[in-house]
Amino acid sequence: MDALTNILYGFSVALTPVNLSYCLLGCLIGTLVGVLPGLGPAGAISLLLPLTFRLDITGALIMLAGIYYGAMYGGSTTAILVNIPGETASVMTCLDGYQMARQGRAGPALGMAAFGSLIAGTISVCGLIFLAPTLAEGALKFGPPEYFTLMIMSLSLVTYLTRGSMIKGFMMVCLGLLLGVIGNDPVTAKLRFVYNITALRSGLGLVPVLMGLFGVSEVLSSVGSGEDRTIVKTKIRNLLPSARDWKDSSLPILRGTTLGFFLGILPGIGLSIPTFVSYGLEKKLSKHPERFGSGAIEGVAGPEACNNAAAGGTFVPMLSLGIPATASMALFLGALMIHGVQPGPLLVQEHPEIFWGLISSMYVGNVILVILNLPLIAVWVQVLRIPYSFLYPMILLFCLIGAYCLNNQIAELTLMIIFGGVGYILRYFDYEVTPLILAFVLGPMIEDSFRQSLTLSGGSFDVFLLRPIAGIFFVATLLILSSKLWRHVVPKKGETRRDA
Amino acid sequence: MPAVNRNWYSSLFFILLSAYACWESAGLGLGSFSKPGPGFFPFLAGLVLGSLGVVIFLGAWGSWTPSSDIRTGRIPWRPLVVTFLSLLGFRFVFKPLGFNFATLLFITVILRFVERKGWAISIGTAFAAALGAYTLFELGLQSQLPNGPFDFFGF
Repeated sequence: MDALTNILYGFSVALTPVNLSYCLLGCLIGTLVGVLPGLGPAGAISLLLPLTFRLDITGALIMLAGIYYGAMYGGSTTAILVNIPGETASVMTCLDGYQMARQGRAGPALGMAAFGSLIAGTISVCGLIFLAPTLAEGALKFGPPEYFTLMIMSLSLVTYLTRGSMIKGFMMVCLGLLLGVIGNDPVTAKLRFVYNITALRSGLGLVPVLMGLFGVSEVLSSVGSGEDRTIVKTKIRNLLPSARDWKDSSLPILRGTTLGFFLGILPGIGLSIPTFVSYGLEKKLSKHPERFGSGAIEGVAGPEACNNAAAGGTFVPMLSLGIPATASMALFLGALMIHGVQPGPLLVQEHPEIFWGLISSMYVGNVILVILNLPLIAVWVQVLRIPYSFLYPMILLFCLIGAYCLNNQIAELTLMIIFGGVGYILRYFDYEVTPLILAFVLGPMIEDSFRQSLTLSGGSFDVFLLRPIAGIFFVATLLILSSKLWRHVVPKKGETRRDA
Repeated sequence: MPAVNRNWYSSLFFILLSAYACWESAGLGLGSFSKPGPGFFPFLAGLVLGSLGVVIFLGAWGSWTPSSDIRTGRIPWRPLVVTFLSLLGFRFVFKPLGFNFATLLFITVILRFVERKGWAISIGTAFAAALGAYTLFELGLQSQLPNGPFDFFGF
């Protein structure tokens, strides 16, 4: 009953004309960002974050959330029509979605992606309604050792899931932690690694670092690559899937939703890994696995539902624990802090309008996306026709102006350009930037909880093992690390031994 | 560059970086286990970074580093350098010349010298981009961007 009252209260916040228009705007921008390859939701949110400073915090978050899940919708359009994932969570949609489009079934593929996403979004919002407050209540019992071990577990999970070497992933975590300590020491107020540079006194800004590492470095990586985009020449009709399509897709949608939501909750998993799992699962369960890769609608429905549900799931740790599960969530966290709201377990009690308003707006946003985007698909197709050679200078320009607008400081612009170069070099040397970003965001919280834990325990490291919840997280971390090591020592049949 | 060499160079860089971070952190004060100082945490992070760097460094010489991880393909140096220099150039002319003129220059340089478009297309697109950016940021969002002496849209 409480949940119903709360959600009705949430709808009363989300459905005010102002918040509804922010939601609509966010969905439109998000879809545009998702449709255009190269920027991604994290880049778009960081770009628009400065513009939300003048908005009321609830409206700002509603708009940013609209961008986040709008990008999930938009990404599928590009994946299906151009065979390029608009953002990483749409990679699996390319496999069967594009094949369907080539066979003249772009309409049902796009329609199923949209309806699957709506169903997944609806279910994940329901999950969020029940799980986030419960988890927040449980998290009130967390002390510094629990927070520390939870965050270390998240970072281990991220490094476990990075492509390539786990050691390199850990190196990026360490680099992120080092970057995170730049600025004032929160305990002694001593300046660390500042070298009399005024802009570094309050630490490296999250937004310029993110825009540089994600946006600028992504563009730099594609400069001169002569990317060729060919949109499938087909008439997009029958957007409403047939009864047969529904029969084939309903179970994959439900499985994808469940998988996506629960994997999305785990800090560090992100949005793309669940879609890989979902696609693999559907292929395994299918009576005709040979159809996968040649236009099976289940291969579109499952992963698309999965990425939308995962997008909802990632809000759970952010809203209930104050721990961002993805780079986009780190920006949400940043937005909350910029507006003077302390994220964490007390958010639901102290700012119910933000908590419930945001959750309800996600449902409203999902409905808006289906109503708007199915008729607007022709418009998005036209957007896709803009040559990349004209598009990327505009993306860079947006990044440059966006970084400056943050605080009207040229130093932030410099920082973004530097990190753009750093991101490019790291990519070239096969170092993933995602663990770096998460460690950079979590760094100050990790250091704080680590020092507090040691102070509480009088310098004993037992505190991380002997407290039950912290102990569980600690053991989970060890299991994650040892499983990767085990796979390195004893490779699976047919798998060559590789860098751990 | 083969992956082994890339690992060799990159790990060497990270080892040096970690040595520097540890040295600098020690200077900040490590404190004790029961009362960690401001340098304690970065020292630990630097130490782990360096140790992992050593593992990669040593592994770069061994035969178990997979060659399948090699990302071949040549780096398009010219467009890359011009794009990066354009970004830096934008940063330096942004305040003195104003954002309209900086935008014009930035887009023109990229389209003309990176994408090899004709002058007319490059300048025309740059004008459209400058006008669009002005409309969105100055008029729409009322951002306080530097106008500089070339405030030609300054109405």
